[in-house]
Amino acid sequence: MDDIILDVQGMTKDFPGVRALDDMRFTLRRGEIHALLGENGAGKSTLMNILSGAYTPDAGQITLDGERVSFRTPLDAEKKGISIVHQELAIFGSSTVGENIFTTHAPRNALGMIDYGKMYASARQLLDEYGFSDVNERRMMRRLSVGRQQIVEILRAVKKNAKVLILDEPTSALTERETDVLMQIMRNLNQQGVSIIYISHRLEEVFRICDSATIMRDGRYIITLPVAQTTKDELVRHMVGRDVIYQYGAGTSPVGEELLRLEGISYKRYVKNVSLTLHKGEVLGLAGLEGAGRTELLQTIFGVHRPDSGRVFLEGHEVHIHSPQDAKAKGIAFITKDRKNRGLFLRKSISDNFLAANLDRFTRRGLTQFKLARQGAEEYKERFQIKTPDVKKKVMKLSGGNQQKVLLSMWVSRQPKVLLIDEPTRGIDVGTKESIHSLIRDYAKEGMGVIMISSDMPELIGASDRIVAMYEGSVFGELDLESITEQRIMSLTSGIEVEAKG
Amino acid sequence: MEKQVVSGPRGIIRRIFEIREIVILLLVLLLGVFMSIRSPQFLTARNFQIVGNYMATDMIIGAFLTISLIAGNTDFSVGSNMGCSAFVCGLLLNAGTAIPLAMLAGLVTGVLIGLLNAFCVVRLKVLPMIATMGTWMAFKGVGLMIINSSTLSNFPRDFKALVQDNQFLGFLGIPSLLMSMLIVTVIAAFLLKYVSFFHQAYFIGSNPESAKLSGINVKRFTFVLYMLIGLCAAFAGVLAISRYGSAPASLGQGVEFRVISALLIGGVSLNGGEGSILGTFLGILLMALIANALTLFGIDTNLQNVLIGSIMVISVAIDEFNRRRQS
Repeated sequence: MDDIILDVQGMTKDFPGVRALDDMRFTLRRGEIHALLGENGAGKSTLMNILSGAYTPDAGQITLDGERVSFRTPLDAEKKGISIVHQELAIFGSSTVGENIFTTHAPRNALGMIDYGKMYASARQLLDEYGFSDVNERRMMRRLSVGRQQIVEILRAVKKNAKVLILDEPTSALTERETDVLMQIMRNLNQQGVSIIYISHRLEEVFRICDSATIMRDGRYIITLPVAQTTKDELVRHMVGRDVIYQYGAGTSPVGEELLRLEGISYKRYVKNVSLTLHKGEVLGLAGLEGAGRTELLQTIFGVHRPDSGRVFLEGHEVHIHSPQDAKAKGIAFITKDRKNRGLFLRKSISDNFLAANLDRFTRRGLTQFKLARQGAEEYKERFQIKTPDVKKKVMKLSGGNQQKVLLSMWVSRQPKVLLIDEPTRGIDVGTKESIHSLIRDYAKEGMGVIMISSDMPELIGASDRIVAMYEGSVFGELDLESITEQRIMSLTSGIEVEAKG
Repeated sequence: MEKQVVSGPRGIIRRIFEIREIVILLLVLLLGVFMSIRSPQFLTARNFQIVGNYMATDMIIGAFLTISLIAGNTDFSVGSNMGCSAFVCGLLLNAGTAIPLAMLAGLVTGVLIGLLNAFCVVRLKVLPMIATMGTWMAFKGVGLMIINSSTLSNFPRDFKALVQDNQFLGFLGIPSLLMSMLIVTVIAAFLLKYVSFFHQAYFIGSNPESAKLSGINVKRFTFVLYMLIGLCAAFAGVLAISRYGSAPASLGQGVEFRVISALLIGGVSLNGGEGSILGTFLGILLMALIANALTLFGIDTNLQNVLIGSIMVISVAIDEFNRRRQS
């Protein structure tokens, strides 16, 4: 039966410098659970944010239950019957579980007062109904585990009696049992006639629960498939579907002896028993989804987090890194993906930034040598081709690519042995991307070892000599230059395939 | 992963010490017992009245300030507001305006200052701390300008009688100031707990973005609360000049820091999302008792500031410690 509850046509949304959605379409039939799939940055969240009223589209139309609608606020969407559970938790930590379920819709008595007795009784009933008899409805929300908080949030959306429920990666924080319960909740709602849009990177779950799947890529509609008549491989093929392969110098520098070795590094729930080896002159790519623990792994190596277990060897000797300062002193550099907030002093000049990274080297007899710093900055400006007339210019006035070059110069000027770099080219245009990769490659040729995170798969393939794939904190496989294909990486990082490490 | 549940007597004690109200109550009781043993004057009706009067204006201001601060909006202008509104009332009284009208004008002044605060915070998007520090300074100046930096006195006999002779709200033999304080406190506590509009304070304070997404009108809330705080500050000012029978130029000065420190002692978090009217009441009571004890024992009352300052920092430090341990 083709009874359509929600139809999206010609949806387009531009953000500065990037088209997040391009003539996207999407059709949800009444009473189905519909998976929305795509790589990081494919535009899934943007589409969902439009459907739930958080963003306004630049073009396109939404038809809900036969009626043309447009939402100006999330409340508009909610009133029309579209509820969303966002990827990030939206909880009220210092209120109780019951209050979090009801928020502003708490039951009231005849005088308009909040009826706490009734509220907690309904909350109790709801929790019992879904098998959470162990969650106390009067407990303070922030004392619950993250998974339980997520469940409470989903119950809040359930309470709103939505026609369409959007779940944006709800299982990323859930345990297996909690995931089972979530599936149960989804089935129950589905039987009550609620249509569900389900976003997940775990294809297992898609096959367990969804009726159909729509795949999007680069903000565009690709295909809609009935789940029963497809395979994981087919889904992955459509999600990847590119033929352009970039050449960023993979395999062009001589790989030397072992530089850094991790043995069984674990940190909380983010990093689980990770072992890997980095050689001199090598660019090692870390592949994985958002939340796979890649950033946390680099931070742990750099001493931001203290590992719960595991050992780190630098040039064959075991080292204990207690702090970023410690890591820096031992010749490790870490370039954060959050360059604007954590990497650079945006309101300061290029030469001041350069000075800040090298304060110890530019101090003579307790006095800061501004002239030396300026000369150093000039030198790197030429070498890195940072496009600015003057190194006294504030960093915030530079383009993203040039900012990244400044950040890179700050760290490599200390001549580290190991360079850890997180999403070096996020939000940077293609030309600058290439020059950043060739800079990184130049340093590798001089013997530096590089571990690089990138969510841009073709870029990662083009730049890495070897790729390690992470899934939910663990290493799921390792691919060398010959065996790297986008599809293999995709399978490994979605947890479909586990490769026995040789 | 489930959190470990701490059980046994140690766990219970630890739990109790995580509830700020209980900790402050224990401090209050401890101080009370100590005082009744050491000072014969402490447990007298006269002394209770002194403590009550000392608390009254602070508590009247602190009640709605608590609700606002739970939602994350502080207000430093309350002291200047109290003074300025009282001066407006006093000037009109001396100009021969009818008493109810002069009082009303005082209260309206307070509401208008609150409205200005809300405008700066909501429309101009100035951080509450900065916006209200600005109005705090400005209205301190305005207040002193309108009274020419001198003390207003010679108010009509009938006006002074309101509080001095307990004609205003004074029934059951409870003095006006005490009664006003109790009424404001109970109303604020009731609203915060049982009326959705005010209860929203907790949601807004603990997660402003989510609060907006779940359809809470944060702007309207902010406007209403600043105006109510303004009203209460003016009310406190009017009661104060009726009680003193004069309006000294220093009226209201320093009140803002005293009240906000009492709030912090009572468990309101400057980060928002936490606090209760009971906590605020206990915080203000503790401050009044400390002042009372120092007076009864003839100790330098400046020590009060030392003690209050220390207690405030220590209690917030304990909070932060608990928070870190929990996460």
